[in-house]
Amino acid sequence: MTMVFSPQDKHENFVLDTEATRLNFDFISELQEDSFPHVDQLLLKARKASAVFTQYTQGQVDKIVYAVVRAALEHSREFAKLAVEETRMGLFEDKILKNIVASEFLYHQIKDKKTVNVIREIKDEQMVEIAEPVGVIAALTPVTNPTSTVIYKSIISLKTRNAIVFSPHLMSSKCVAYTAEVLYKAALKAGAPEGCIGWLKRNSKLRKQTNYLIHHKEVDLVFATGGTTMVKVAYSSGKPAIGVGSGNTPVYVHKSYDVSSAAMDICISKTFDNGNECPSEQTLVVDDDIYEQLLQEFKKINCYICKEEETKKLTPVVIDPETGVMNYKYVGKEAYKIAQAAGIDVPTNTKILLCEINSDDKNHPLLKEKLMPVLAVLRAESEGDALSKCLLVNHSGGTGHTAGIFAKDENVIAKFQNLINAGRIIVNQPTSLGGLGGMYNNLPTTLSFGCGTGGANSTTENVNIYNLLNIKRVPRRQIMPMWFRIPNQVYFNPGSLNVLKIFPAKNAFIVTDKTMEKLGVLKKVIDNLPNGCNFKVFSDVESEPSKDVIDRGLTEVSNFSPDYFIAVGGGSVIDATKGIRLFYECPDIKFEDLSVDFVDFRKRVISFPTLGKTKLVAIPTTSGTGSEVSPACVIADKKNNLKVSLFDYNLTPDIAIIDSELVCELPVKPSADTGIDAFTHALEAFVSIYANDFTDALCLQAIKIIYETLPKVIQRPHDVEIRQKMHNAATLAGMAFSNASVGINHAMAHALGAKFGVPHGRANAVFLLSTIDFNSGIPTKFMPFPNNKKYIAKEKYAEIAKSLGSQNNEIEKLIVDLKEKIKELLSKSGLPCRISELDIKLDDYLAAIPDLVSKAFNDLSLRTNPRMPLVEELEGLFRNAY
Amino acid sequence: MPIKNLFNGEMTSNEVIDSAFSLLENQALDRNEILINFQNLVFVSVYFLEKLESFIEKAKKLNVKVQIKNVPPSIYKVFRVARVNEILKLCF
Ligand SMILES: NC(=O)c1ccc[n+]([C@@H]2O[C@H](COP(=O)([O-])OP(=O)(O)OC[C@H]3O[C@@H](n4cnc5c(N)ncnc54)[C@H](O)[C@@H]3O)[C@@H](O)[C@H]2O)c1
Ligand SMILES: [Fe+2]
Repeated sequence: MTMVFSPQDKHENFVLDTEATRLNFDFISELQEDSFPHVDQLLLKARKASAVFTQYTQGQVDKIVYAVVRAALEHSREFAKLAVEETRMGLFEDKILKNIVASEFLYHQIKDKKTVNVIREIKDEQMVEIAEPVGVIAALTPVTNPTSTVIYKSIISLKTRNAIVFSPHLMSSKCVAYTAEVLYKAALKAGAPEGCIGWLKRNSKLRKQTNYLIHHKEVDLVFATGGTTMVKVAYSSGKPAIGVGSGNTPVYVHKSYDVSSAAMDICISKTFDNGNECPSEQTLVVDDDIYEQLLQEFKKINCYICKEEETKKLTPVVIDPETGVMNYKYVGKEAYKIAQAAGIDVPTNTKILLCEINSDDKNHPLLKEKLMPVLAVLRAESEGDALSKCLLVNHSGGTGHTAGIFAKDENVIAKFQNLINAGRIIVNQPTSLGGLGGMYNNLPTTLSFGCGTGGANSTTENVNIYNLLNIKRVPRRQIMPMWFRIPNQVYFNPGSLNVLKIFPAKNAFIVTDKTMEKLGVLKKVIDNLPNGCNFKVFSDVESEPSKDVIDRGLTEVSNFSPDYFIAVGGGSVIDATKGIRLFYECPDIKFEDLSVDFVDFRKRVISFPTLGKTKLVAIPTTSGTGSEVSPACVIADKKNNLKVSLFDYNLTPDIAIIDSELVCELPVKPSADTGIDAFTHALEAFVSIYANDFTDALCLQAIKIIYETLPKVIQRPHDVEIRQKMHNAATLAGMAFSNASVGINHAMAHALGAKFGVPHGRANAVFLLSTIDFNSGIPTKFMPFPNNKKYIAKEKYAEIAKSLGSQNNEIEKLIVDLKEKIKELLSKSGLPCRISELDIKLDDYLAAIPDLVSKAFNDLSLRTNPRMPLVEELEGLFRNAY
Repeated sequence: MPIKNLFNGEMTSNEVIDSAFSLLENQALDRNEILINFQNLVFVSVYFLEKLESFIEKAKKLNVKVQIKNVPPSIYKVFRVARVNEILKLCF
């Protein structure tokens, strides 16, 4: 076995050690390759006990715990007597109380707690927690609380179905062995497995055996309570360890608190077991206003205030000048005996010796831990001064252990608890009894006080049953609640524009472009505004609007105070209007902050502002983007050749008017482009991982209409009825992708469009066939999503083929049919089905592929595609599309 | 030849365990193979584990091949947690 400490460490730890000191283990020098067969035997038995314990039910366990608690209570006086006799520390009466706290109080807290099988059901999170015992515990016990620690550790170990083997401090080995034996017999009688409690007996090699024990392969967890050295050794055993060490409790007595109550509580606490309880008060920090009064109160209850000379004499008695730590000889001794040793004459009924420490003397030895009825007192000039002094004590050994405050002022309590590093911050209670838990408060009852990293411990908890369990979490699959959100008013059919008249608009800000102005569409809109409605027109929107356009729009709108925004135009105009309205309503937000990428917009990092001061009416004049019903807004970043998508349902227009009379002048080519974009929206939303019954219904109808209507639009572009069909279909597809998103086809189209300036719809067209092939293959990687349990892209494409009239029954054939039908649609609409049909040279295209792949790979649309492409697959798709 | 119904229910009483293992040991004397069926075993105690371990050791000395089958998972977990390799080797 090897140890991590160097000889220097050894010395330092030895000095730092609080309760053990000289008689304590000098682990390092005694580390040898000894073997102790009886320790092996003890642990093998414990190992089997822990294994057999796994079969026990909660009822069986609780019966054993009850029996052991009864035994502990019956023997509490006897154990206390043995402890005082053997250790010559502490007070018999208080040791009885400690034994009772460790049994009765502890039992009260844990008796109804579940420690077997399911111990907690977290309904909201659809998760259960299951207990798995830790196994075999090596438990080290301190000389200060030998019997109570054995009671406490045995009970929590049995309650959690673990086996425990005690290694006592040499000076308490007899009372520990006796206590463990009594409890073990009671446990066995109640049905506990043989070997569930074990102990090392007093012998000259106890320290070596302890070392041997904590390094033993049969030990699963080291649970050490005691001095700093011992705890460090426990942590360095290489085993999981719960080690808890020494404290140095500062207590702030604030002027808002009643002095006589504070004096009494401190007195109860500091005299408990003659101060032999590590969370007990060590240094009082007292507000100047009440300082003298408090000391008077202490005097009244037989505490002694040392004069300056007496404090000088007392200091080297309490804190050993050689080691710099408390003098082991006086730990847990009566106050008068300690005074006597210092040559101070005090009555034998003196409860506590209080020593006033000069505030300048930050390194005064008495500011350290002293587990005896000696208290240091510091006077504080102000609240700030008091808090700093508490911090000074808090960081003079004992960081992370315990601190206390007496105050009625909640503000000062709030400051104190935030500043001080202590696992338990005891407010308006005695710190020693308060720290134990279960008597003055609801802390878990314990005799092991975790100090966190401040004390080089693994926990700040009052170590309890849950620290002795491996808690297994079983989360159930969470089906994500989905949504379906669209504008709450959609008006459609030729002439529906006149619905504008009924809106209660007072100031309408109309956003459009020059073409709309020229074609008279803008005039139509103005003619249909409600009576008396003021309006202002901003017609500077260009195709693929940039942030500059939005800024210009914002300047126009700034002194107009609109209550309605009306967007009249294609996707570009509608998106620009969404942007203008967003920054008009929320002038303080930054564009960069809203465009942060996300996978699930409900979990995304940024929080989107809520809009609603104004209403947005979207009147599309192209049949494609679906922007009139979508939560998306695409803004071009011209400098970086990028398109930035803002996405939030706050961006969705409030009202959409789908009036085909406004589309009839759209030339044939953009009609085909935008139409096939809508077709792609529906096709991709139908196989998206977010696809659902609501969006599926819209997709199927949109696909069917576009398949039948788009070629007719190309033939008879001025037919209002045909146009209306196409216009409706685009909005249906828009509603679908607004809720189910799109996929890889769009990711590739975005990349191609940005690189070669191909219109968006056309760019979609050239990837339609390869996307179907890709998604109907067997994915190399599936796209994970909790709501989907099967990969059904193929079946869904087949369903589309059927809805388009294919008579086939086999999936493969249906997919072939679908591709044929799409080819036919493209050719009838004058659209390309390969990149080679676009005006892009092969060499240029091949050279661009790495860039295209990288852009498409980072595209948000990709994340909802059912099949997750590998980079090389994406590259293949681009190559094959030429 | 398998030995049936020797190990039944909760094996908690030391007397019951003793008699079951002494029967088993007698069988071991005139065979060269023993198949123990744990199908009906519900609970094992520390004493049972120790007895089983020592039986396996004895059988080894007598050159009798021991096999344990149908170990219920809760009992198999006990063997696992107890880390008794001699027993684990013979299971299944
Ligand atoms: N917000 C979304 O959900 C969403 C979805 C897809 C695309 N988009 C964005 O939409 C924009 C593309 O929109 P688009 O395809 O509608 O094109 P567009 O709005 O850019 O319009 C294209 C051209 O057609 C003209 N035009 C529009 N309607 C006309 C009509 N009825 N008669 C004659 N000419 C007409 C326009 O003036 C323009 O010159 C892009 O910026 C794209 O990123 C947004
Ligand atoms: Fe699109």
